[in-house]
Amino acid sequence: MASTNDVVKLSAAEMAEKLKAGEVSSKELTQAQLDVIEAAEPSIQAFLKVAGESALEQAEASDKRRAAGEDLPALAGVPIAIKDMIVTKGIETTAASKILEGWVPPYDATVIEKLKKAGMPILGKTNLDEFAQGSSTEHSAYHPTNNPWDTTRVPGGSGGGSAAAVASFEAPLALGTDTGGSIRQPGSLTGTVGVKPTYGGVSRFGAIAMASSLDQIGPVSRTVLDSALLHETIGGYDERDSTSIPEALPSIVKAAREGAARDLKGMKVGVVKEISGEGFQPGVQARFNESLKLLEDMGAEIVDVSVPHLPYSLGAYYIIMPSEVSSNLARYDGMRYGLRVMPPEGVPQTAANMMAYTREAGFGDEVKRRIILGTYALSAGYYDAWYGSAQKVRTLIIRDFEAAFNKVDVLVSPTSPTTAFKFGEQINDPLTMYMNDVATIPANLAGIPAMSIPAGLSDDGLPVGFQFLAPQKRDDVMYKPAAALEAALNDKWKAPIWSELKTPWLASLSADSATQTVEE
Amino acid sequence: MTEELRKRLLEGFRDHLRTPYVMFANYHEAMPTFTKEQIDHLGDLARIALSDDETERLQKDLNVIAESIQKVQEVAGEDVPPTANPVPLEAHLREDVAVTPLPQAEALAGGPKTEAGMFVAPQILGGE
Amino acid sequence: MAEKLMKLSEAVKKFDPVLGLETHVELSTNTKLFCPAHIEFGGEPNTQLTPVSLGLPGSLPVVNKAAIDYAIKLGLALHCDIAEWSQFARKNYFYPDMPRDYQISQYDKPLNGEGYLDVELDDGTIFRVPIERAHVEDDAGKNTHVGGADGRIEGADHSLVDYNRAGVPLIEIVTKPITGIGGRASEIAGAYVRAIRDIVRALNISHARMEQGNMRADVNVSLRDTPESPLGTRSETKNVNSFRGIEKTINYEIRRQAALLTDGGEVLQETRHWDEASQTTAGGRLKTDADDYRYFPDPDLVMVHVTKEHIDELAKQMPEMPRERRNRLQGEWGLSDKEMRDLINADALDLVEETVTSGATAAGARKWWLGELSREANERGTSLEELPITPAHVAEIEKLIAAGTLTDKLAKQTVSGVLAGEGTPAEVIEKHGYKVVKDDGALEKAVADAFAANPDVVEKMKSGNMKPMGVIIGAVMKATRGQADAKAVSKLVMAKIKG
Repeated sequence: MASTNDVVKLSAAEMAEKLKAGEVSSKELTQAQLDVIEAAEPSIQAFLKVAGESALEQAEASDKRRAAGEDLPALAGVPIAIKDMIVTKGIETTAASKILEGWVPPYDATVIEKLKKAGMPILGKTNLDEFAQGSSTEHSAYHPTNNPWDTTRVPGGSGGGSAAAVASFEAPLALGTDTGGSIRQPGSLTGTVGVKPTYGGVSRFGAIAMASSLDQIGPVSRTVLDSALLHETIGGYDERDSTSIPEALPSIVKAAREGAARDLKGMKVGVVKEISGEGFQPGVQARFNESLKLLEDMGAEIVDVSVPHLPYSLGAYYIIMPSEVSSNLARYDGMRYGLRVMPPEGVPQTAANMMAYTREAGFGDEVKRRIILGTYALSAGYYDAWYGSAQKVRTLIIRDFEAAFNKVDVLVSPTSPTTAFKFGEQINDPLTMYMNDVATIPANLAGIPAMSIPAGLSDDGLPVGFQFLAPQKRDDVMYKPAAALEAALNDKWKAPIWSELKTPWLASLSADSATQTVEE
Repeated sequence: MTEELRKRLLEGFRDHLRTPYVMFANYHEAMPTFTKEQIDHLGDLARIALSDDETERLQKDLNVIAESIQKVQEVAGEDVPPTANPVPLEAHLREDVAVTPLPQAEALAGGPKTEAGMFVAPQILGGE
Repeated sequence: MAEKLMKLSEAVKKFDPVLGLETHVELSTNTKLFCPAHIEFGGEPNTQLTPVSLGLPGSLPVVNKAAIDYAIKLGLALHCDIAEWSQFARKNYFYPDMPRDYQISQYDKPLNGEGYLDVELDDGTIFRVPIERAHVEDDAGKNTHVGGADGRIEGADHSLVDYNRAGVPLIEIVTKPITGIGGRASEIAGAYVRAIRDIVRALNISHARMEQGNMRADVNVSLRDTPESPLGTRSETKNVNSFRGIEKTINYEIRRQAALLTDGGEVLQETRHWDEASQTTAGGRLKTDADDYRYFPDPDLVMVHVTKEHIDELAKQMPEMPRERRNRLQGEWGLSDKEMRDLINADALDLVEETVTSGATAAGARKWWLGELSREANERGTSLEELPITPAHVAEIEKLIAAGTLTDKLAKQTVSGVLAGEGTPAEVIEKHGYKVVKDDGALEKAVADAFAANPDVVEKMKSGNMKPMGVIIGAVMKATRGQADAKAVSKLVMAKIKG
C-alpha cells in the first residue's frame, strides 16, 4: 500500500477505484484516516467524537462483503465524517450543545442507514456552531475548530468541522447540514466543495431540526465528482420525511463526469446582480471574475441577471429561521434526554422552573438570541407583520428565481463575501456575522440547489469559493459547470488548490508510514 | 484591514439591510423596539431563565436585528400568498401499519430522571 | 369558600345562557397520528413509542391515512364542509407530558369546517347544534401525580410521565356559540355529547367511552341579559369526562355566574375543573396571554390533499347513522316515541337490538333489559353493558319461555343464576334442574294430594267460590318445587272440581 500521506490525499473516487482494484482495503484506508485524525486534531480540532473502533469494524465488514463478491455501490469502503447535527445510533450526538451532552441516540438518521448499507465506515462526529447556528463554528459549546489554511482563523460555519476535516485530509468525505449556507460557506473558507441539495432531495429524518423548511443534509468533499457520488448515495425519497420529494434524483454523477470534458457551449450563466459588486473583499471578487472568464472560455455565455427581491432575503431568513428554531428547540426541556438543571435554592423547584433553568444553562448565547427573536416573530399580534410577511417575501423570491432560470441555465456568485476571518473578530457583532451568508441564504429560502467550489486563493493566501445555483430538482444542472470550472482551474494551477496547503500534521506521519508498507 | 472589510461588507450590501451603515456605528443608541419587559415575557414564553445581563444584551442585539429585518414588510403585499414550504408537495398519507416500537429501556435511556418505567417531572403546580 | 349560587329556574329567567362545547374524541386507529407505533390501552409505560412520539431530536411526523379517513367520516356525519386542502399547525406550549413541547393540531385550515348536528331531546324536540369545525390533532402523554391526595395534582411533589398516549389521534369538535337554549342548556348539551358518542361508535372510529378517557369535553358557559345582548365573558371547564358531569357543570356555572352578576360582580375568563366530590367547578386559573400558542403551519408537514372522489368513496361506505337507525328500529318494533326514548335513556338500545337479532321478540327483550336487568344494574352500581349477562343469554331464555320450557318464575331464577356467575342459561338450568313440570301424571298426583290436604277449600270451590284456589295451586307448586306450569295446574284443578 502507498504511504498514509499519499493515500489520504486521494479523492474519494480514486480511493473507490483502488478499493475495487484490490490495491487497498477499507480497513487500511480507515486506519490511515484515523492516524491522520490523531496527528491533526491537536491543531485542527475538527472532531467532537472519533469513533475509531466502530469505524474499523465497519471497514472490516465492508471488506468482507467485497471479498464475498457482493456487487457494491460506488463509494463502498470509503470512510466518511458526519456533522454532529445528524443522529447516529450508538455514537454520542450533541449538536455541539451542552444540552445534549452525553446523549446516545437509539436510532440512525436515514442518510446514516444509507451510508452503512453502502459499507462506508463512519469515522466520527464533526464540530459545528451550536445547533447549526452561526458562521464560524465559534459558537460550539465545546471548542472552536481551526481553519487548516491558518489555524488562527475560523473555518466558517456552522459546518466548520466537516469542512476542516476534509480540507486537512482527516477524511475524504463528510456530511453537513445547510440551512443558510452552513455547508457552502465553510467550503468557501477552507477550499473544499460543499453542496446544498434541492430542498426535499435528501431525507431530513434524523437531521436534528434547526429550521425545518430550510434545512438540508449535503455532501462535503475535495472534488466535484466526490460530492456527486456522495449526493447520489444519500439522496432520494424517504417515506419517513413528509417534505421528501417523491421522485428519483436527476443524474448527478453523469452531469459531473460530463462537466469534466469542459465543454459548456450553449450554457447560459447568469451573474446575480444583487450579490455582486462592492460588498465583496477585493480578492474574492477578483477570483470570481477570473472564474467567469474560464467559464466563458469553455463556451458558456455570461449574462447579468437580476433577482429583484433578493435584498429582502436576509430579512425574511432572519424571521423565518428563528421562528422555526424557537419551536424546534422547545423539546430540549430536561425531561426525556440531555441535560437537566434544577432551579437554584430559593426558587420553587417546579417542572416549569426546571425547564427554564435547564435551557438557560444548556443553550449558548447565539441559540438563545434566535429563540427569543423567533418567539417574538410568532407571538400573538406580531405574526402577520413578521412571520406572515416573511413568508410572502419567500414567495416573491421563489418567483424571481423561476423567472431568472427562464433566462439562464445556472446562476453564479461568490460564495462568501470575505475569506476566513480571525477568531473573535465577528462574534460580538451578530449583524456582521449574519452578513456572511448574504449570498448563500437565498438558495435555502427558494429551496433550490446550490454548491460552492474552490476558486483559488485571495491575495491574503486564503481560499475563495465560487457558487453555482440551479433550478429546483435540477441539481445535475449545476454539477456540470462546476466540474468544468474545477477542471479548468486545476489546469490553470497545474494542481488542485489543496496542494498549496501546508500540512505539518501529515509530515509527522510520513516519517512513520514509510516503514508501514503492507502487502495484501 | 478587518474594519475596512467590515465597512465594505455593510456598505456594499446596505440594500439588504434597512438602515445605512452610519447608524450601525452607533447601534447601541438606536431606537429600541424591545423593552426589558418584552424580553422578560419572551423569556417566559420560551422557558429560558434569562439573567439580567442576558436580558440587557438581548434587548440591544434584537433591536438592531429587528430594525434591519423590518424591511420585509415593505414588499409583503396583500395579494402575495405566503409560502410555507419551498418545494410544492402534498402530504404523504401512510398506511395504518405498526412498526416495532423502541424497547422501554431504550426509550428511557436518555432520561435525566426516571422511575418505575416513567420519566420523572418535578412538581407541576396548578397545571391542567 | 363556597360560591354563591342562584336557583336555576331564576337564573335562566334573568339571563340568557350561551354554551360552547369542545369535544375531544380519541380515534381507534391502529397506529398514532404521526407516528407508526401501535396503540393499545393499558400497556407497560413507555413501550408504545418510536423516535417520533418520544420527540427525539431528528424525528419527523408522517400523517396516518386512517386517521384522516376517520375524520372525514365524522365530517360527513356532522354535515361539515370538508376542505380539499388542509394544514397542520404547531401549537407551542411547554408541559412535561408533551414530547416536543408543541402539539400538532390544525389552526386556520382545518379538515372539517362548518357543520351541524340535530339532536333529539326527551320530549321529542329536535335542536340543531351549530358546529364551527372538527379538526385533527395529536394527544399528549399521561401524567401520574405522586404525593398529593388521591393522586391529584394539588399537593403532588412530582409526577411520572408515560408517553404511550402521546401521539394518539384526536378529533376536536368545536361548536359555535349555542344560543336559544334557556333552561334546557344542560339537557341539550347532554343530548349533543351522547349523540356524538353514538355517531363515532356507529362509524367505528372511536370506542368513545368517557369513563376511559376516549372522549372528553371542555364546557364553556356565559350569560347575557337578553338574546339581543352581546355575548358575556365565558368560563371554561376543561376535561369533563362524564355525561352527568357535563350537565352538572353547565347548571352549576349558570347558577354561579347568575349569582355573581346579580351581585354586581364580574365573570372572569378562567379555566375551571369539575370536581365530582364537591359537585362544583373549582380551581379557577385566569386565562392570560401566557396562553399565547404562537400557532404557525408545521414546516415538517405539507398540506393534506383530500379529493372529492375520495370523500365520495368514504361517503358510500358510511353506515346507518344513529337517528336513522333508531327511527327504523322504532318502526320495526312498533314502539311509541316514549317507549323508544325510555330505551335510549336507559342505554339499552344496542342491547335490545342484539337480543332481538339473537332471536327474541322486541317486547321480550325490552321487558328484561328495562325491568329486571335495569334493577340489577342499579343495585350493583354498574351499567347494563357491564352486567355478566349477554343479549344472547337473554334471547335464549326468552325462547325457552316461548317454547313453554320455562315459566316466568323459572326464567327469573335462571337469570339470577347467570348474573351470579353460574354459567350460561343452559348450564344454570341443568345445574338447578329448572324444568317446567307439565307431565300430567305427576301433576295429577300433586293436585290430588293438594285436594286431599285441603278439603274445606275444595268444598268452597265446588260451591262456586274460586277465591281460595290459590291455596291448591300453592300446594301444588310447593310439591313440584315451583316447577309446575301454572296454567296446566289450573286446568287440572278446574277439571277436577267440575268433574
